[in-house]
Amino acid sequence: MAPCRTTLPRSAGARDRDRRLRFLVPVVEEGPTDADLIAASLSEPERFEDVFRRHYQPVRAYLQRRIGIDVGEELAAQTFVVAFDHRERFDASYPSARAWLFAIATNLLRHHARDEERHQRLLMQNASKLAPPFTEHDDDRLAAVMAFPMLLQALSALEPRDREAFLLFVLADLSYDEVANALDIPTGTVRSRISRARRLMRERLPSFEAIMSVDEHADAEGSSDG
Amino acid sequence: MDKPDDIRALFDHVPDEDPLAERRALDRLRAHMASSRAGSQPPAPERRPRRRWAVVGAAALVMVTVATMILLPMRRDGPSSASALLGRLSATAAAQPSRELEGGDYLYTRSQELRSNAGTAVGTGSSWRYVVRVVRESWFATNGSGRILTSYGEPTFLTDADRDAWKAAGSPPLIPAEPSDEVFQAGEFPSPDLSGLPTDPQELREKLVEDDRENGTEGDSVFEAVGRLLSETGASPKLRAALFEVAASLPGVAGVGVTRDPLGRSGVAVEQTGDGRSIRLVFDPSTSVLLSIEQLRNHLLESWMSYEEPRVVPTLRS
Repeated sequence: MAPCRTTLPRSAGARDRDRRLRFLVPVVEEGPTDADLIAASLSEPERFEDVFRRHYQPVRAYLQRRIGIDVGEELAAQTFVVAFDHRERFDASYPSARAWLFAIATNLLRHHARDEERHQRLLMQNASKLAPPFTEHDDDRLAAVMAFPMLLQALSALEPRDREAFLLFVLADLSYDEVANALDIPTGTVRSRISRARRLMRERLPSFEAIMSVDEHADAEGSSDG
Repeated sequence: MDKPDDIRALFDHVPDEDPLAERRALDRLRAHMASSRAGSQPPAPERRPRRRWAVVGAAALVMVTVATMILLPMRRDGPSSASALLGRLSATAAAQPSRELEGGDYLYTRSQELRSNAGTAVGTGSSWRYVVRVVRESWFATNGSGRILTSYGEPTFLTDADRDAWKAAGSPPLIPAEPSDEVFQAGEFPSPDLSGLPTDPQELREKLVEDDRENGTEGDSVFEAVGRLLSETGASPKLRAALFEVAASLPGVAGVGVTRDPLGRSGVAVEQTGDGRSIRLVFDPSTSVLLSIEQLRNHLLESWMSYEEPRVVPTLRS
């Protein structure tokens, strides 16, 4: 029997990245900024729907990856209801509402820690059903099936504050500055937390190629943890 | 800056785009915006009111109160969280499209129930308690024909003593030996006549209280009746919206917030409690559809009925 790899084929990863880039990377919007729309929504509430349309899908996908399909969808809907109720508080010096919305989503997630633990257990139990079907070879699929529970275990072993920063960076595709904004901590602290999370993940998943290949120096640069 | 694609790829069971979820969330946001405009917005817990807004808010509150007294004389007795939640569900229900059924099609619904039962031995008087899961499937056509199929799961005794008492009584049957399968000709399908129910919340509440008193329960079971009527697939959006308003006006109704129903689905719940017993209704917040009715005693789930999403099918088979 051929040895199983705990890595995924780079081609699949690249395809995946290309596909995700269309949805997760902030699109340069022509016309009003989020800050403009939110300001306008104070007198014309329906203008807030444009903010919703720009950001709903990445917020939903992030929450569902963290906590499960049903609760994730519920929290995503709540995120925008809460955002609407608190739109007066949005700091208009930020043109994009992305980090602000993920901050609200993160706060909602904190009230559902038990749901998240339950979801992670469920994911581990059902790893074989949930493994990504994008690989063309059985070995790749098997590798993905094996990697999934290992990854979940490694993630759950991280310090909650490190995991939070790491997942916002990796799953929500926020930049360091956006993670800092979402968690209300300095960017240096974000770099430090993500660096530590990667180091621990690499220790627990030594053959996870992509984690190994990340530029560690860039992570640690200018960091001072809190 | 490179990011580890492998990790994101492993979570690929979650789609990047889900238009239906977006639609549901947008409907909910719009309903919330509408209820905010109507003055039923729940208070933001962390917001510190500014003096300027406090004056405007007080004036707005007076206007909304006056408008409410004129337009909706029915008082909302429930705590504000339940009242706001039911108000949003009412707005969502009113915005739902009417269910249209083509001739020849059937509306298929499936419900599951955890039923609490008790048996008593003739002579000795010993008794035993058990629960059994009941699955009810129904097919309903516009001409009033249809089918109801009821099947039963394996009974479970609450304690060993209950099992022993049942055995001592000679192990009488706890459930029917076969599933019940009833087929109904045109006009025979047993469904409540909803046509006589008013869609004005005040009149509907009076009608439900009157019906409840006729049943000898002194108006105490109106909340439960509201739950049953909300489970009826034939109820119009207008009637459903009014039923939520009635629920908001009943005494002792409290918001439970986000919860899961017995089938594990996420929803929002309200409940009415009295004498240690509660009736809890769980709804899908994006559609206002009733997910389950639960009965609790001293906060412990005693029995429940959950409803699955109805669908249109061409035959009398699921």
